[in-house]
Amino acid sequence: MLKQIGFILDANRCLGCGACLKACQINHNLPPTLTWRTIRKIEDESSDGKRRFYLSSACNHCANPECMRVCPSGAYSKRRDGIVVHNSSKCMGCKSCVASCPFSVPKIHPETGKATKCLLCYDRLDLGMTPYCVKACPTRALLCQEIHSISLDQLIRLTAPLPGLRLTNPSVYYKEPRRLNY
Amino acid sequence: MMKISRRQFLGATAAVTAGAGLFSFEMLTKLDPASAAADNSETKQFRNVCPRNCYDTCGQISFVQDGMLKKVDGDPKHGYTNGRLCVKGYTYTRRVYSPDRIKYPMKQMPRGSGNWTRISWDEAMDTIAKKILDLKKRYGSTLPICFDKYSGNFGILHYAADGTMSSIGYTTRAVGTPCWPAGIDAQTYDFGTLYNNDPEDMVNTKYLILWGQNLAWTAIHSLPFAQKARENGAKLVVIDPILTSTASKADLYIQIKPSTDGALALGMARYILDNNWVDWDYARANSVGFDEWIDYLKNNVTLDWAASKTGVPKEIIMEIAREYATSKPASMWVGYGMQRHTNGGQNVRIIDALGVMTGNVGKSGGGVNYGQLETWGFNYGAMSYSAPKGSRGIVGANGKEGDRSININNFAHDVMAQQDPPVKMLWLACRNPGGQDPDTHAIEKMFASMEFVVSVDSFFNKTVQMSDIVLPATTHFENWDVNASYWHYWIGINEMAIQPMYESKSDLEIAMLLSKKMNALEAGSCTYPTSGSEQEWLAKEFNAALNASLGISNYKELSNGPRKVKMPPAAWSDGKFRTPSKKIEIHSNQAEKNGLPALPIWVEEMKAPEKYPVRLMTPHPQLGLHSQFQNLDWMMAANPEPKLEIHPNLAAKYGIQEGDKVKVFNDLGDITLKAHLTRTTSENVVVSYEAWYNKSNYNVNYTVKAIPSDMGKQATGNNGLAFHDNFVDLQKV
Repeated sequence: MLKQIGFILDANRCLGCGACLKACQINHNLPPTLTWRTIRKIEDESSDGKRRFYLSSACNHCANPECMRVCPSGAYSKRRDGIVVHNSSKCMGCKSCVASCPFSVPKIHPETGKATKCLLCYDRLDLGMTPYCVKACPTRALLCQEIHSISLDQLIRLTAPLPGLRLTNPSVYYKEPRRLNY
Repeated sequence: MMKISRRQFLGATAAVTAGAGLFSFEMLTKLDPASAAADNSETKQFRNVCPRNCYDTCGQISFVQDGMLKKVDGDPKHGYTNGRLCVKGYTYTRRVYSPDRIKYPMKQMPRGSGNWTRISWDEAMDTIAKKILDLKKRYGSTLPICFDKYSGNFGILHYAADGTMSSIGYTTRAVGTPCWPAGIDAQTYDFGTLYNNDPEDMVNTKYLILWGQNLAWTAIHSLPFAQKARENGAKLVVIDPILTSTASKADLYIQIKPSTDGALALGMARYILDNNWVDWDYARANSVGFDEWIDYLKNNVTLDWAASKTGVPKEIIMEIAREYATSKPASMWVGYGMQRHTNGGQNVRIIDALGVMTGNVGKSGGGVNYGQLETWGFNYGAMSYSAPKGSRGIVGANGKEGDRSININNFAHDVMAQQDPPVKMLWLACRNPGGQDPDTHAIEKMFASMEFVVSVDSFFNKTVQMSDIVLPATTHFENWDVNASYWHYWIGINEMAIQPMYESKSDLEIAMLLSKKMNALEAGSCTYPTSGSEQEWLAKEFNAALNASLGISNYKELSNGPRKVKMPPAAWSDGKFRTPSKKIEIHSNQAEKNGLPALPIWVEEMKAPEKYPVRLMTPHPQLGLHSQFQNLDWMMAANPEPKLEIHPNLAAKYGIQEGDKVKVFNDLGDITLKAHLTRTTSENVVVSYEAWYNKSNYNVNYTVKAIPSDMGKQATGNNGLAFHDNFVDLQKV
């Protein structure tokens, strides 16, 4: 099997504190209008109990990246470790990737007019360091590792809601949040 | 654990999110100078400490390029914060370079008009000094000048603001602490002072109860230690009236009726007693009055009573009592929210007794942990200057003249009540009573009655809006300082990373500048030194004992990294309690002398009046600290407006739906905000987080009455505030 690096988020640990998002934004010198990460707050209740949890997500570095498939200028490539890289010098700003990504990951940079997205800090990984977001996470909820090497029995996969889009096979896993009963 | 299918999981996700990122920033790029600085010059690193009123007091590394603060990161050499910050910490570049910062000394004419004019430092100092001398001449003393400082910056050199006041004469001082005094007194009566275990020692616990403590928002760096304990098999229990972020991570969450924590602890104690899980040896050897309290439990407490009082089912009380008493060691962390009640201090005393009863005090992995000031052994040289010769003050109990103290927790009332002489001038440093004090209308009225108001601040908050002159304060990247925490045991140096922006100055520089001006106008009118670099002042804050406890010979060694004060990991492990009897005082004569029950027995909570049946709780927010941070545009973009968290059943009673505007009101005043229906709060409690939103007059304290909590006098000078005993009614707008 090919190597694939991806994010793993323990939803029982993530507090939605925003440190990952901010650290990513600051270290990559993104303008205040642009973030590579998003944090969603989820509250739900069923007969099994109440839940309140947070999901911090960035690019899913899909096994079959739709962005790469649709890009007319070949700006996207997939490294041997599975990271989906965007080369802005090739990007024409046509927004095909923005429109086609099932997870709305690529965004247009307000200054360059080109697409931009999380590169999983591959330059840091190559030097043996962790991505900025993982480094910043105060609760160690966010991890980054080779995803085929981990046991998946306690993890669930994030997929897009439409069956057709499941084809992209995103490389991100979540440890599912507990429900509280009282 | 229940199984959910992928589809359910996504369904839940989609329902709430609908593309709503928590952070979606709508600002212009060019407003962020930090990211616009040149990229090719050398980056210098400095050590800083976040000086906010927060458990974590993070070690920080600032990255400076061309004299510009490019980014702020955690200091990996800090063993408690471990190189990580919180989201507030990562926004510091924005705080330093915020376009909203107060840049120059300014005067407002008339006060409250918003008609601000830039003035020079010389004019500001001249106006202030002349006013001080004028008041002194008219009233024969400096007592008409009232000083209020609290937690805006806990750096030790910021006590220079106190020094400014002592050195001009005897003044009127706001004394006490709004945050945590009831709990401090409870632990003072019981143990002699407040003293928590090293929070890093939390990893050794087998059972952890977070009692009214929301560490996910207010002490996030403790979570890894708690998680480590859980990985080793510890159970995490959260007791809180609100299903907080922390509660959502717990193994067991108990939604308790507000202010009944003592009843729950008593119920647990009774069950522990009935099953003889009591550590008799420890309790009898180390405490006085223990058996007297046991008799009280036998005669007055039943599980049924505790269950009906607290709303916690009997089986749950039995479960946590058994688990807490039989898991050794077991630890409790008592939050500050739960003591902001009229019986708050008493509830903490009962929880203390529960810890003693099970022998968990003085043990690694145990403790009834509240806070500590053991590591704060500085010289406080910046504040220690005596009044000029011939100064007149108030004759105190010791027969000597001194300052006139008033209650910080009833500030508006106490300032207005002073007669001989009246208060005519306010000096506010590190403090925003306009935002944080109860009864904002009373505060507004009090400010309006003043002749002159000076505030030192970085942003035009409510207090500054009511001032005549504002002096621009430095951020902690622009001055030297040293900081300790009231929770962990680390001390770190705060280096000046960048030159002060615009014309901002630290409280220390302001003290020296004012002294220069006062003495020029009237020689000998101010004793504060007029020279010395900040580093020289800093050096004077250290002493041999402090250096030894940090394992350093010179404070400059802290530039290599923060140091941890050498103390045993468990507080009170030496068994040397600091009460009058040198033992844990389950029976406290001191408490009795102060008109409180001698024993940790149940004291009735405050009930909702008929007219105002709903309790409004105003806890600490996630994206701000009191009135700091939330006003920054980055935070405003993430959280643009306050919301009222309301239970769907209560909302239905008032015909309120999601997003409706709701007026929350009582006799004191009202606030209007959007409703958010959620079952995270209970049916008769609505929640709105205290914060200062930029360009908004939203302030939860318009409805909060200055009701004192039961304790605080003994150790802090004044009782605390029952912030959470605030009752209101609702109306759909």
